[in-house]
Amino acid sequence: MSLAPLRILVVLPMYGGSLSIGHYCATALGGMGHVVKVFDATLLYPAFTGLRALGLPQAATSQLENAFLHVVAQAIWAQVQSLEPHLVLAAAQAPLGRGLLQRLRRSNVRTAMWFVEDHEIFSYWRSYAPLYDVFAVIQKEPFLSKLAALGQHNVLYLPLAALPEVHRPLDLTQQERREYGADIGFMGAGYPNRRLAFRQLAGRDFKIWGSDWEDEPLLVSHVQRAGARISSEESVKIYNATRINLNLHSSMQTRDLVSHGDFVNPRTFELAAIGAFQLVDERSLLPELFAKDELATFATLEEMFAAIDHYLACPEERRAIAQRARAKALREHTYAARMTALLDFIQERMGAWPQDQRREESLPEELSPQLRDSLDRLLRTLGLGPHAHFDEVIQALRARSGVLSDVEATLLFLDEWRKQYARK
Amino acid sequence: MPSYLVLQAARFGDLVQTKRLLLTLAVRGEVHLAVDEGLVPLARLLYPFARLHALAVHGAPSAVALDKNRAVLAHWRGMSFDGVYNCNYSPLTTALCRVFPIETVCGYRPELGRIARSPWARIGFTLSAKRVLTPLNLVDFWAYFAQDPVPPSTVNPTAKPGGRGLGVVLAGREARRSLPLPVLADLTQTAFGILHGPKVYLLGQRAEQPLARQLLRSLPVGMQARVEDLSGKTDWPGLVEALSGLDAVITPDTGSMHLAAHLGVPVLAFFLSSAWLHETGPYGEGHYVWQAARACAPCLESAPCPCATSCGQPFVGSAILRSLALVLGGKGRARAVTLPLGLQLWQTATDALGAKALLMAGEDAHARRRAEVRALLMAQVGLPQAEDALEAWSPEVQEWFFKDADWMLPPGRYC
Repeated sequence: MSLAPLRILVVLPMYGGSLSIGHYCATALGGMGHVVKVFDATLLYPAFTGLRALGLPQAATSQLENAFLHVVAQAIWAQVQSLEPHLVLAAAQAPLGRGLLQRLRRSNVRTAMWFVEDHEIFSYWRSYAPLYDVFAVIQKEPFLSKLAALGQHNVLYLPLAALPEVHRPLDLTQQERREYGADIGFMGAGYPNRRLAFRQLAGRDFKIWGSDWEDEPLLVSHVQRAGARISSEESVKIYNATRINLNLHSSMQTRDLVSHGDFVNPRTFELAAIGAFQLVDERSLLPELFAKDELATFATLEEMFAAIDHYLACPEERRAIAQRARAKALREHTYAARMTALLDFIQERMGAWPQDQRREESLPEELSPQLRDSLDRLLRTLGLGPHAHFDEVIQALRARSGVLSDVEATLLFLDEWRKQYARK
Repeated sequence: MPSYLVLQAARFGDLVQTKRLLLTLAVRGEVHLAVDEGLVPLARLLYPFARLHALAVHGAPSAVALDKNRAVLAHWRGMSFDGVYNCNYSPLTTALCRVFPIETVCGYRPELGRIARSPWARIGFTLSAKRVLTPLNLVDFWAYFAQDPVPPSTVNPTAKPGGRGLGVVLAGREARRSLPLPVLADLTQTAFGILHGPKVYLLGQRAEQPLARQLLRSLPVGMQARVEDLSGKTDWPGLVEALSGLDAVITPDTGSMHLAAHLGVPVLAFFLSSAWLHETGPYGEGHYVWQAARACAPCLESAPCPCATSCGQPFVGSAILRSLALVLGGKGRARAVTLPLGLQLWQTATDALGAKALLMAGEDAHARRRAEVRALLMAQVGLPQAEDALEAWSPEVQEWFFKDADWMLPPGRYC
C-alpha cells in the first residue's frame, strides 16, 4: 500500500444489489491496511419498511419516512464524528441525503460514491452526483458527459470486480456437486430478456438459481428452491459446480434478448476469479477488461446455444479459458485494485490525504516496552495494519464485542486516563 | 461460595459511602474491593472482610502505574466473579470492566464503546437533574446496585459521644463548601464551652495547616492549650484513631465526616454551596446537619457562583451558635432551635429505604415533593410499604421519572 493508513467509513445501502459490493469494498480496504468502519444501514431497514406496513395515510407515512431518514442521517453523522474518517465511501443507494452530504463537505470530510448502477435506469444520480466529491461509475459515454454537464468533474470510470477471498475455486463435496452442479446454470434474477432467452433450454440439465422467476411454466422445473434468494456463499458454490455458467446481462426489453449494453456486471468478474467457465454476452466495455481468449462470448442467442453445445463437449477448452480469465481477474480486477484506483484518483483530484501523526509518535509514552510488543501483536488480531495509529487501535477495541484481554483493557483504560488528565 | 468485585475508584468519602453495598455483598459471599492504591490502607481498616485490589487511578498516567493496572487485570481474568459492581460512571473503571463478561457487570457497564447504565443507575441521573428534590443518599444509591441490601440501621452505629473530645475538620476539598474561618472559630468555641472544655483535635490535610494555625490563633488563649493540630499529621490509621471515640465532630461535607459516621461519632455538619445533605449527609441515626437552603441550593460545584456564595451568610451570627448549643445540650432541645431564613437544621435517621433526614428547624419548601419521590423510590426497589403512596404521585413527579422509552422498551435494560 502506497498510502498511509486512512480511516474510511463505508456506508451501505439499506437493501439492494450494491450491498454485497459495499461489503467487498470494506474487506478490500481493510486488507489494504486502512481502518474501515461499515455503517450497516440494513440494520435499520426493517424499521423503515415497518412504517409503511402500518397502513397509515400516505401523507403521514411519507412524513414518518422522511423523519426516519433524518434519524439515519444523524446516526451516520454520529459515526463520522466518532471515526473522523478521511473518506466516506457510499455504495449505490446509501442513505446519504443532501443535508448530510453538504454537512460532510462543510466539515472537509471527503465523500465518494461508487455508483454501480445503470444510469439510464436509476436516474436519481442527477440530484446527488454533484454533492459527492468523487463519483465513480461503471459506464463511460454518454454518462461521463452528462455528469460533467451537471458540474461533477471528478468522475472515475471504475468497473466492477471480484474479491479473491470470496470468489475462489472451492473443493466441493460430492453432495454439494450434486446439489449445485449442472451442465448449464444461471444465477440471477428473472429479467424479461432472460426468461425468453432461457426457454429454449427447457428440458436440458439446466439449473436456475435466484428470484423473480414466477409465472414461467416452461422453466418452472429448472428453478431451484422455488426462486428463493441465494446467499453470496452459496453462489460461489453454484459457480464452482456448474459446467457452463450462463451470464446474460439483464434487460427489461424483449426485442433484442442480448442487449449489447455497455457496462460489465459483477458476475463476470466473480466467475472469472473463481476460475469457473462462463458464457457471457458481448458488452461494449468488455474487450478492454478481458481479452478474447479469456472469456467465451456470444452476440446472439444462436451463438449462445451453439457455444453451449461446443463447450460442453470440450472440457479442456473450458478449463483453459477459465484459467486465463482467473489469472486476469486476480491480476487486474480485484476490489483491492479498484479501491487503490479510487483512492489514488481522490488524491490526484483533491490533493494529498490529511496526514495523521506517524504511528510511533502516536503511541503514548506510558506504554512500557512490554506493552508495546503486546500492541504490535494485537494489531494483527484487530485486523489493523502495522502502522495503525494508537487512536485507531482504541477505536477497534471499543468496537470489539465480548470479553477483552488484560492488554486490551489496559489500552482502553490508558486512553481514558489520558483523556481525563488532558481535561484537567 | 459466590464472589463479588466492587470497583470504587473515587475518593475517600465515596469509599466510606460504599459501605452498605459492601456489607450486603459480604453477607452473600466473598467480597473483593478495587480502590485506588492510596486508599488501600483505609479500605483495609474500613472493610477487613474484603480482599483488596490496588489500582492506580488517581495519579497522572505513567508506565509504572499502567503496568500495575495491567497486572491487576491479568489477575482478574483468571478469576470468576458472580457479580462486578462498577460504582463509577467513569470511562476509566468501565474500561477495566471489559475483562469481564458484560452480563456480570452491574451499575455501569461497557456497551458499544460507551457507558451503559442500569435502570437504577439511571434513576440516580434522573434525580441529579432536580437535586433539590432528591431524597436518596449516595450510600443507598450504591447499596441498591445489589438487590435487597442490608437494613440501613445496621450500616453505621447510632451516633453516641465517646468522651475523647471534639474534632474539627478544617475544610472540604472544595473551598466553597467550607465555612469561613471566623464562623468555624465561633462554632468551635461554642462547642468547646457546651462540652465543658474537652480536648479539641484539628483535622485536615497538609494543605490546611495554615488554616489550622489561623484557627488556633483566633481561639481564646485559655482554649488553645486544649487544641491539638493534627492537620497533615495523620495517615489513614491515624485519622481513624483520631476520630474514634470523639464526642462530636464539626465538619463540612467531607470524607472525614463519613468516616466519623462510620465510627458512630456524632457529626455536626455544615452544608452549603453544592453540598446537599439529602445526597451526601452523614449516614446513620443521630447526626445533625445545618443546611444552607437558598432558592439556588444545591448548586453545581463546577459552575461559578453568581451570588458570591451568599448561602454562607446565614451561618454568620449568634442564631447558629445558639442552635449548636441546643443540639449539643441534647434531650430533644433541637426542636426548639430557630434559624435565620435560608438555613435548615436536620437530624439524620433511617427508614426501610435508607438514610432519611428529619427537619428540626427552618423551612423546607420541597418537603411534599421530596416525600413523593421517596415513595416512588421505595416502590422502585420493591418496598411494599410504599404502595399506598402510589396514588399520591403528582403528574410533575411522574413525568420526571417515567420516561417513554422505559415504558416501551424491555425492563431492566442497560442504556
